[in-house]
Amino acid sequence: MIYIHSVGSLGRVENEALDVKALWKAISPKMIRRTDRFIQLSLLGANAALEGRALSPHTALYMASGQGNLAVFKRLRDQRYIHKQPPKPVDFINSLSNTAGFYVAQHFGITGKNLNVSRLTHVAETLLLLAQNDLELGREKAVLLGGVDELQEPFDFTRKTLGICDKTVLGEGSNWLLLSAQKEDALASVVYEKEIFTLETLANYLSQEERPYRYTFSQSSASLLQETVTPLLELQTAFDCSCGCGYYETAGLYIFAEFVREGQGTLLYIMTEGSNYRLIRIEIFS
Amino acid sequence: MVTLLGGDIYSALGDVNERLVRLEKGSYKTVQKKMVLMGEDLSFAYYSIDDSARNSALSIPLEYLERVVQSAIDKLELSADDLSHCGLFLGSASNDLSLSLPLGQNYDNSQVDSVGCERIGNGYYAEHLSQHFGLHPFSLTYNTACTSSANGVIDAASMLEGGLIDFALVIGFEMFAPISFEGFASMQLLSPDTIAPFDKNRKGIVLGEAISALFMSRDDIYDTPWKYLGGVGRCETHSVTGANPDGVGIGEVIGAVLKASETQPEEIVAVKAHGTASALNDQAELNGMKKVFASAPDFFSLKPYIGHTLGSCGSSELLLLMECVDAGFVPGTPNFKVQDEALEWAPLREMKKCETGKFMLNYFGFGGNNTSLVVEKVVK
Repeated sequence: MIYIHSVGSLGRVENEALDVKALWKAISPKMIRRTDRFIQLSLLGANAALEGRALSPHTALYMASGQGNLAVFKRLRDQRYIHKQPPKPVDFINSLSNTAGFYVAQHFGITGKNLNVSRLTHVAETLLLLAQNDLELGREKAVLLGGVDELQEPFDFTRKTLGICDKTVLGEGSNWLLLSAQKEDALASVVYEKEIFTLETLANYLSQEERPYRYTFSQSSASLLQETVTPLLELQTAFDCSCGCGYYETAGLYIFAEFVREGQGTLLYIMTEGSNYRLIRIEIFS
Repeated sequence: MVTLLGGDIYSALGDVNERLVRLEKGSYKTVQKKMVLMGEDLSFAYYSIDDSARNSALSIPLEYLERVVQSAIDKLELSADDLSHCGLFLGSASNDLSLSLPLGQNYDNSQVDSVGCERIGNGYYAEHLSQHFGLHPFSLTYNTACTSSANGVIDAASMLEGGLIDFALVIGFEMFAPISFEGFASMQLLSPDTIAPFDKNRKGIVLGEAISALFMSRDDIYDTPWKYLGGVGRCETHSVTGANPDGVGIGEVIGAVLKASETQPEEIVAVKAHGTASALNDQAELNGMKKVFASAPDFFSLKPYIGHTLGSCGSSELLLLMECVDAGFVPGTPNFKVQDEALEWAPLREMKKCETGKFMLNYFGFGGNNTSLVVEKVVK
């Protein structure tokens, strides 16, 4: 079992404005010049989670993103194919998405392992499983785990590449959790259940819950789970906060952070991929 | 204990027979790639996978990936059941073509309607391979620049040690990408002709492409003479483009991996250096090694053989090292001719006979990523 010590979020849905540059400039004007919006979004979310908190310098930084810094890739594309110019060095460097992790590490003075990963679905959740394993094995003492996705225009193009065939409202966000294997001073525990469930074994797991809990589904599997799993949960209350963030690949961390901020109870977060079901359990400490 | 099973690699070195001959003799082959930069015609050496059937179609990366993974599976005689317990860790410094191609074509937003409704982008290759080979559901795609697949090796070992998977497939994937090529050129980091790591007259990096598939396991599942003893990743925040030339950050990660692997410096038989032949990287690496090693260990760079394969070099260079030692040697470092007084230490010039022992592998990248591994080949 691992523990959540702090959470922080920043984001918007597609019809809202979010002046990331102005927000970050107010915090650290000296880091504006070489950072772009994706990096600033990363910094702001991490800052929301860590404001006023001293980190061990060996804290690891695990960062997930559905696509990484796509805006800079588009700039590089335009420089090459439209303007017939070579890549600007700062854009070329920032096109390596772990540059965001570098600036977060630099700003917060941490020098531990620094990861940047992607995955077609459940990237932040999968990274949480890796963090849980590393913390339980004692390979890491603390992990700052974040998920960052920047909304790209045109929205219809983005929806299609996300595999969304309707007009689902998109969002963007930077959500961070500070994790450790130490219960002291923690806000909540979090367990990524290692068992890969079938619908039958998931039903069995849920039937053994003795206390009331709240549940929610990952965004990418919500429609499938509404049909198959909701009937197993009829006595429980849904935790629905996804309308506040819009759809993006790492929004699961927004849901976790919202539940921790709400400050009570147990959350079962259920996902599906193919015929498999996975479950993450968060329990808030009173 | 975590074991390294081996695998296969596509690179400029050709098949296993050709690459062992070249690695033993210190020979290699490059092509010249041209570009126009700020109105100037430029030409740079490049280590290219030799395949006349190649084009830039989206299907080609997947075809290469499937071929190299299948070759590794066949070599190791892994069963469908083995693969169903095998997690996937794919490292690449490049964007997945499944999304970057549509993005490139849609530069004027005129192609929105032509894009189908399918989740694509970074992670697409890993998802495809997981489905194609019936792998365990755990997969991640790493983008930590030149340490991408090396970090995949570390996390694969962690997931194996935690018992969450019984096998791991680490893929290093890098193919020619014009923007990367021109990006390095615009930063004036490329050598026009040869790569000469640690040489006084080194002129910079020569890029290359490689696709490697390395399988790992635990000794209770699939024992081999090759053991993974430890790996450490660190973020050095001195500069986003490279390690501090004073070697502090690199010294820290090398010291940490020796501690994690319970290895004394004098036990290291040879170091596979990162050895990019960029002026500052080579300086930082040797200054870092000097903070840990009392005297120069045998060290070499594999980049004169396959080029700097960026996110692929982690698993690709580990596989090449394993193949060399299995053949009874560690390779020399071609093109090293003149001692750099500032560096003091010199790499192995010729191959050296070696059949067992502990080896260190170093990888450093943009974004402050420093990663170091220690592996061992034991006597059967």
